[in-house]
Amino acid sequence: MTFRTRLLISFALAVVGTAALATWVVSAMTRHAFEQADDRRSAALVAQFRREFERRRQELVRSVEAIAAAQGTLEMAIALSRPEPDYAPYVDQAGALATAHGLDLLELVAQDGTIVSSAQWPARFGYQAEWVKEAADGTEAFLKSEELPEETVLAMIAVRRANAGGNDLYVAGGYRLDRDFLGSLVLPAGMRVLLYHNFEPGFSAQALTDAAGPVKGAERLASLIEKVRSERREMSRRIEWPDGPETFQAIPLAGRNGELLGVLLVGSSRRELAALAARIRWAGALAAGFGILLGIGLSYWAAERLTGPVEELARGAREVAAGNWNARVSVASRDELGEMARAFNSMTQELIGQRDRLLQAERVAAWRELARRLAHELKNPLFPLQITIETLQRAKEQAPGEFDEIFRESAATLLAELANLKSIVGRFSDFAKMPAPQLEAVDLNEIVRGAVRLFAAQLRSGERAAIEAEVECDPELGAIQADPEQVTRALHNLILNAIDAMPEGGRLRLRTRRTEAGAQLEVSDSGLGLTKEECERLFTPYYTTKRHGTGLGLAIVQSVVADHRGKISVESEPGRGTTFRIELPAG
Amino acid sequence: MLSLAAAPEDSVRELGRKIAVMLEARETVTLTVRNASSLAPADVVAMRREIESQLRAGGFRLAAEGTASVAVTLAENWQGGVWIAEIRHGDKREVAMVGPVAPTERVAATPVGIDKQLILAQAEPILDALATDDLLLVLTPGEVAIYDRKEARWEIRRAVELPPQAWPRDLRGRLAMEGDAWRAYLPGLVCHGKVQTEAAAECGESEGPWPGGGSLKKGRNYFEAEKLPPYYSAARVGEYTLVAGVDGRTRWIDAAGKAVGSFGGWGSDMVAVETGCGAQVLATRAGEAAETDAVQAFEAAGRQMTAVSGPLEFNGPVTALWPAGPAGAVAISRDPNTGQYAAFRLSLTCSR
Amino acid sequence: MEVREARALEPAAWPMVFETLVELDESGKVRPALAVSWRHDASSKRWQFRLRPNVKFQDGSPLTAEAAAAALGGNGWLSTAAGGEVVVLCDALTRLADFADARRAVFLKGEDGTLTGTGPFRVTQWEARRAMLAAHEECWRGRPFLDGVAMEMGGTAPQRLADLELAKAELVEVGPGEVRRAEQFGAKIWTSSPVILMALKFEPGRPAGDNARLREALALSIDRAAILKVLLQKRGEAAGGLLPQWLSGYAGLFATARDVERARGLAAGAPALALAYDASDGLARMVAERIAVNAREAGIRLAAPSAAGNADVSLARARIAPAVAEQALEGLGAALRLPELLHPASPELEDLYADERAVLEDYWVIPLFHLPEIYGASPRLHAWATPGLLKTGEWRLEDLWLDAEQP
Repeated sequence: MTFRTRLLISFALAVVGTAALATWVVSAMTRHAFEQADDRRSAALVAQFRREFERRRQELVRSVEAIAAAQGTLEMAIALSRPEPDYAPYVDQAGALATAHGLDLLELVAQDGTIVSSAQWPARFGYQAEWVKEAADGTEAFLKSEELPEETVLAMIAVRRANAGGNDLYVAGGYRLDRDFLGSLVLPAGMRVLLYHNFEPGFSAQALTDAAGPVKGAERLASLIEKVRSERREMSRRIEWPDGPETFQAIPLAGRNGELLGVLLVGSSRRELAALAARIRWAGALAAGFGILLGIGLSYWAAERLTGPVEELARGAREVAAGNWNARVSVASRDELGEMARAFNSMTQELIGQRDRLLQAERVAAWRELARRLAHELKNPLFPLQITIETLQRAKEQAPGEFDEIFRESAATLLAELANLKSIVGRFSDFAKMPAPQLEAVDLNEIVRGAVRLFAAQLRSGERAAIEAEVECDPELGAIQADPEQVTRALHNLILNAIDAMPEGGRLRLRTRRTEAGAQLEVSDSGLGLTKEECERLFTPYYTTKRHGTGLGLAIVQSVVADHRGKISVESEPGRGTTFRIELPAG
Repeated sequence: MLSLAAAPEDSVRELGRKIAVMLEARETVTLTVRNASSLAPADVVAMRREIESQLRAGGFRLAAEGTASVAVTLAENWQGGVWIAEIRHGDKREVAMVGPVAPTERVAATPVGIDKQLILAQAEPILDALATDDLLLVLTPGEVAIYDRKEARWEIRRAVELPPQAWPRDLRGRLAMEGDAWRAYLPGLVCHGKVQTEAAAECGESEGPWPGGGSLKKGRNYFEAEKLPPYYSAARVGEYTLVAGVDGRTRWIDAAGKAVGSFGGWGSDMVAVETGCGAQVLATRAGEAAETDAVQAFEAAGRQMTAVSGPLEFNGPVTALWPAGPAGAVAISRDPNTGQYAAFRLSLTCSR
Repeated sequence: MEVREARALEPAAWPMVFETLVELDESGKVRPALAVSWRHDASSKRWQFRLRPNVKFQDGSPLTAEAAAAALGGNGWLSTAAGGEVVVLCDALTRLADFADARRAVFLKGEDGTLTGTGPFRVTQWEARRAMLAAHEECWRGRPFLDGVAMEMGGTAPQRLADLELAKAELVEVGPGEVRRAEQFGAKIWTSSPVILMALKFEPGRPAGDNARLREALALSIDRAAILKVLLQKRGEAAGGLLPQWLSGYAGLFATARDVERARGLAAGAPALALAYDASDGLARMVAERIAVNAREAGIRLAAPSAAGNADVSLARARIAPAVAEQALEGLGAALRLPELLHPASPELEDLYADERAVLEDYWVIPLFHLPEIYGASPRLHAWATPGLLKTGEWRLEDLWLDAEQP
């Protein structure tokens, strides 16, 4: 991911996050305010409903009292106070009275609990209604589940006594709490009342009605109703309908003895509030979206401004790394980035200068080293030459008769030393005119095995302890593009060095390995080892720790490796051996 | 329901026979007898004894606990008594029945007897009949017929026409005689004439009182009198007057004209009579009108009228009942089968 | 005079129009009507009647032996006129009371099929729900007081009572619940003996009712006493048998007591029954509702039928007529569709009891009440010699008369 992209994303995120946060905060605060207002409105509506309910109760009590005080009722009470009263003439009374007073239910019950007349179930005359006697002591209207021929209904009942000397006549009248009752309550818009009849042990969707009939989706209210049933207290809950939420205040309806007869659910629709909240959210989302787009545009532009110079710098750095030390970065701005570009440029200038100087110095050092090495190498054969010739001179002057023999010995020695000189010069010459490698597909393993065969005898040489040769050839090693002759020579040199490093014998290990780039060759010995300093100076021509040899071996190896565009490294510890590692590219 | 006399023995024996058939030989039987009829308790006891003797004669033993239980119910339907026996052997139940047993008339030994003697019967409606030893006047809606006695029969001498009016079917009329002069009272009309003369009757409109008090206006069939509510007939009993009201109830009216009691059960005709054993009231039986009617004599005990004679039955309804002499009355009845009207002389005898 | 009936017009009107050779009196005894004397042979299959003289048909023609014979033939009987007397040859042993049967009335059949009788009223108009009768001027019993009678059928009991109250009718059939009100405005109440049987009849072929235990349970669950006392205002009797006590005498042998415990045991697990009743009859509705409440106590569910014709059991009324026990039983058999009661073998009470028992044994019919005919009569209506309504529930309107209208 480029810097520009990262920058872009950070900017965009910042803008988006801010916009979203702002929207959410505004939305939440607004909603909270509206909810509070709505709650107050709901509470007011529920209170109004309660007053309405109470008014109906009072109305019922008044109706029942009116019936109990009516002349006809008192006359009936008197007639029934006589001994052996005849209930037959009054069987129809309750029906007429109920219709006249607009009651759904009315029962006239004698002192001993016998039903004299029943408006809602006329055929029940003569049966007992004990509850009327017990309820007559109270003064309030109460709730009761009332059995009717076809069904059981929830009813609001009030009981009064009609007493005209002698026995009491109980008047029990009431309203059915059914759809019509719910429909008759005066409620403001957006509000509705549902009634749940608690007649069955479990929740029954059929038992929930509103003014229009059974309620659709009653199951959603099941858990609220269950909770009210078990805890017997008022509670409210918000119910989500498909067309909007609604808050319900659930009021338990208890009978005279505290039994839960039903649950009244007063619902106020939250649809408007929800719509408003949705609108706010939409506005917020819109703003946020716009903000995001703006943010992206802005960040794009800002990123461009920022990353432009940075990319320039990166390009310059890449060029330098690639070797073009002449790379220049052009940044026009006067700010830190411009500073950085100028610094970069001057740095590269400096680097070029330093490199050149270093190169010079190295070259001089290399020449000096080479000269030293040459001098050292040439000196050795030159000294015996001088001695021999001086010997010849002396012999001619001092012993003319032995001069022929001494001349023959000295001539041999002189030729040998000259041959030695020639080989030294030949080696330097070889080194000087090492040609470019002729690349072809080469099997490094084969070269390794060939080298081991070649040096097998030397490894077993009797002059010292034997050197054990270990060969690990990677079978996966593929062909590499290399000059087999040069690689072989480099390998030979390394092996020779390893042998020289183990005068007491030891172990020589040759290992090839396939690498990603190409091949790796390791030559390890268990010899004397090198110090750190010696490792660093190792590849300098003529650095040698050997007593003999030109010290060119490693330089040749290094040259070969360099020509093959490979890498060579060394690992060593004094007393533990040395490992040379060559990495060659595949092609 | 008519009350039953001691039921004919035949029916009881028949029941006993039927019971015996359903019992095993020489069984021990538990007998219960229940009365669900209008038999008097004495009769029930008599019947039980009869059944018991029947069973014993059949070789069965009666005990409080037995192998069979016989439950006899004395019931009745409208035609008479129905004697039912339920015989149970364990779970098995059989039923025997005898009936209907026609009731016999109970003739109570009552202190006062009423004698009924036919005076005359004819198809024309008779409103009143006034008979002396040898003379009979019969008032019909259209005429007054005068009869002479010829041996055991009455022979018509002549009929005096009365002015034709549109009389209703339930017309009431009364005859009175004084010496040779007779008077006929009809609603709103009074006619008089002489027995011996051949002259026509002289009639005139009158709203005046009839014999016995009270006036019957034209078009009415009830009497009106001072201090009395409208009534069909009345009889003085002590200081009270019994009136048969137009509503079907008989009321006691005191001297001030106030009703002090009422009862039902009487018809719309009554006559006060006096026999050797006190004052009685002859009254017809209540009902809208029964197919058969009866006249019974009652005596007052306080304000309770108790029957002191058995009911004297007539074949049809009694359409008029007028006093005839101190201890007698004339009763006119109509036989619905024949359509004939018959006038009877009722005379009371005292057997106390 | 206007009469309002709830039931069909024929049984009430016919006896006033057509007469029989003999008739039953108030205690069930036979007495002469159109015939004044009779004799029969030893097998009681050949009967000979001497007719009453001077009897005229409603069209004025005289009653002759030929005319009577023409009317009496049929239904297995042969009748001829011989020597001024009517000879009837019956196909089976016939009792005198059989000649009092209304089906054996004497009439003249006109060419257009109209029938003319000898009774005190003749028909001037006859429709399904309305009949007009006019007085027969020359009736041998005497011309009726009334000039005519208009009879109308139908309506509800309160409507009929209102007609009486408003003087739109002089004689109306009322239910037991209206008696008190009628008495309040001065009407007279005429009651007959219990001549109507109110019973529950199970429909054959319905699976729910095919359960004998359930039928018995329903019979045991009904509280007749309370219904009689309250709904029927004590006018009537609880019925365990088909014939009322006044007609049979053995009605007390049938149980009417309630046993809710036993009913509950028998009804356990039984399905619901559909109970039908005459919707236009307010009294039937109240009785049916009360029976439903009684049944509920025993665990039996009674509901209204879902559609007409789906009833398992229905609350029915049947007329008990004529007033001869075995004929009445036969009539009930026809009305309640109980073929076992048709053609009872003998008129003996024992055998009739056995017949009734056999029919009622498995509770296909549950007798409930014997009800009287109750009529409210205007205060202006009076009876002269004969009550307007006989104990047997029959009419005798010829002796009724009305007060003159108030000016």
